Amino acid sequence: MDAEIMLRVDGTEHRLTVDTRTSLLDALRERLAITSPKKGCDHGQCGACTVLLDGRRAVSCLALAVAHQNADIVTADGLAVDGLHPLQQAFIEHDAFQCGYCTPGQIVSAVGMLQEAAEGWPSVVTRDPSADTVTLDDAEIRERMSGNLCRCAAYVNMVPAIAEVAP
Amino acid sequence: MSRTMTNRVVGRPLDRVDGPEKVRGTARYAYEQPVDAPAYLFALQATIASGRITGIVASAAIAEPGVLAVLIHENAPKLAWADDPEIAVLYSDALGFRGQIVGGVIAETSEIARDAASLVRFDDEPRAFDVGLRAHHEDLHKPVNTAFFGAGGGELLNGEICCVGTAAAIANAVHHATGVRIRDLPIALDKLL
Amino acid sequence: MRPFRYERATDVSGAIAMVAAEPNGVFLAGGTNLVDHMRLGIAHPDLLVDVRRLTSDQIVELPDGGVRIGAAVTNSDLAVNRTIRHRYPMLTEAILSGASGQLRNFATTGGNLLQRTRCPYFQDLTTPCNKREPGSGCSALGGFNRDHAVLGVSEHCVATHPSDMAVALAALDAVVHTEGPDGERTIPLRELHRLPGDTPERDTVLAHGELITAIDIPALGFATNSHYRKVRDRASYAFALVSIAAALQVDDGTVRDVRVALGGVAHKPWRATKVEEALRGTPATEDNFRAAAVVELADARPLPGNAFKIPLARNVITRVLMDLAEEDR
Repeated sequence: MDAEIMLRVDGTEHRLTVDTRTSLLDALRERLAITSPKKGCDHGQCGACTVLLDGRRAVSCLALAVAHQNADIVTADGLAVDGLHPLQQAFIEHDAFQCGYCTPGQIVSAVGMLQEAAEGWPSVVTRDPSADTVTLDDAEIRERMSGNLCRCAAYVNMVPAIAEVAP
Repeated sequence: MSRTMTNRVVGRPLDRVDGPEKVRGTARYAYEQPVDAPAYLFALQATIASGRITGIVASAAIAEPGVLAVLIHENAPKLAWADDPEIAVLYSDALGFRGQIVGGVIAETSEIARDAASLVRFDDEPRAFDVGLRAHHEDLHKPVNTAFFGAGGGELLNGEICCVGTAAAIANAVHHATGVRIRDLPIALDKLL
Repeated sequence: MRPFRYERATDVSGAIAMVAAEPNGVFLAGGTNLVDHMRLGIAHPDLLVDVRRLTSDQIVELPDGGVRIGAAVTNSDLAVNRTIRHRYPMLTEAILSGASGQLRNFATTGGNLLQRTRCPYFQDLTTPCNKREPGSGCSALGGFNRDHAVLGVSEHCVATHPSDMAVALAALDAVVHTEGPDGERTIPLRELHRLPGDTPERDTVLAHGELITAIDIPALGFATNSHYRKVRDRASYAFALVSIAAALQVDDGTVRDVRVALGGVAHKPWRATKVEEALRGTPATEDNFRAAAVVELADARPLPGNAFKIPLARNVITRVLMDLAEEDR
């Protein structure tokens, strides 16, 4: 069953026809040729498909395109507004990737995560979950990024890259 | 390589030339090379661990609108050279492991390919299998060549050097703990004292 | 994935009417479980009715001191809500221990309650499963059953309910509001999910077309002294082997009141009423906590792969209650 929808991706509006079964990830990659978000597991478990969906990080493989009509979507490519985002620059400087396949998802997830921390969101490792602000130490970064897997195990350099950009 | 070139590159923390594209997700991986009017394949996989395929019914899948073909071992094109069993996919009815790719449905969209795949029916004849590791297994034999990477003649035809420097890692740990750098084996107590 | 119709209703009663009229119709909220199941081929609805923006996404305080949580509130929003963090920390901890940041941002309260077991045999179309196909058998019984249930099991199904949030809500005596073809009703959360019995295909008591609209948590003063602890194979991003939501009130060394619920051990969140009855009015000591835990797990039935869950559950109950007793000084 087909549906016509509009998606705003990295600031540009796209009108497209999708199958109701089409995931947001496949709409981006296969229908719009926007291949920045990657398909890793297609089951919401690896995080390679992470995008910002109406401002919040989400796994786009479990979102149906037709259910997110008019949504505002930001990919890792869209984060590079005036040159690279500071987090993207930090990933390069800290050698925080090897094959690079999980990298766009890691970066979008980290940007979303930093926003959540800035809003005072606790995590399960936060010592006092009722405190108003949050300090992102390594344990917090690892916990908050646990939804993004890296088969090359570049985690060891991702953590300091994210820590460098975290306030 | 001249001395000056070596000093400019070796040991320096260089930014990767593909870095900006990788962090933006715009570096293209194999699947992402642009193609006009692509077709999409959804793999068919074996559900038993060992045995052989005895029958395939693909008619319902082929009849689905948008399905272009159903590839199975009976109709798959053959490679010019298929001596390597790892790349000789779809060459026989033999099933070697659960999840083995035994075919694919090719369609105009990925959604159609996936859905049509659920319509392909397989019959198979399971075979008993033995995957229990035990020290006195009746089938144990010593491989002839274990040190060469694929050099012929031995019972291990595919060799891959193990790049994990276990000894080096241990030496690093010893150095970290004691300050003593050991550069030859064995790593023994008398070298530390 | 089979083709399906996607519809958006304008209001809750419209959504209910649409689903009720379609035998193979379902509600779609965050989709973080449903879409996955459709891709796995274990759910194949003909109609999806999107309710993500229909029910309330607000958390409001009730006049009696309790809290009403709209079914469309995301797991993240619920966990980080300041009232919840202060008054019901076990609930915040439970939600934050589950899934990943991305999933929590889109999973909803209603959807979280209705998520289905992660038993690998249920999720695999090629392995017999009584929950998926009644009468076909239970592959977990003679297979890999490390993650499976030890309490309330039946010979037809030993699956566990995967939600962390539901365990805390069970300990808090939450009440579920629904609207369906036959009108509105409330269901105590402890009665929402079923034990498998001989109808494991039914996870809950909900009727077809019945939609969760809100969840109420009653006021519970001593819930400020509560925790959720999750024991699992990894430090993060893994389901519970055994988990516990507990609240404790100690007065002068005596247990004045206590709430305990267990996760990872049954087809539904397991409210440990035997622990609670054994402890109320008795000294808050390690020996008493342990004795109560032994009673609760006395009827547990282990499988070859999960026998460790029984001593683990006893230890977790004892340990968490001791920690809460310490914190209540």
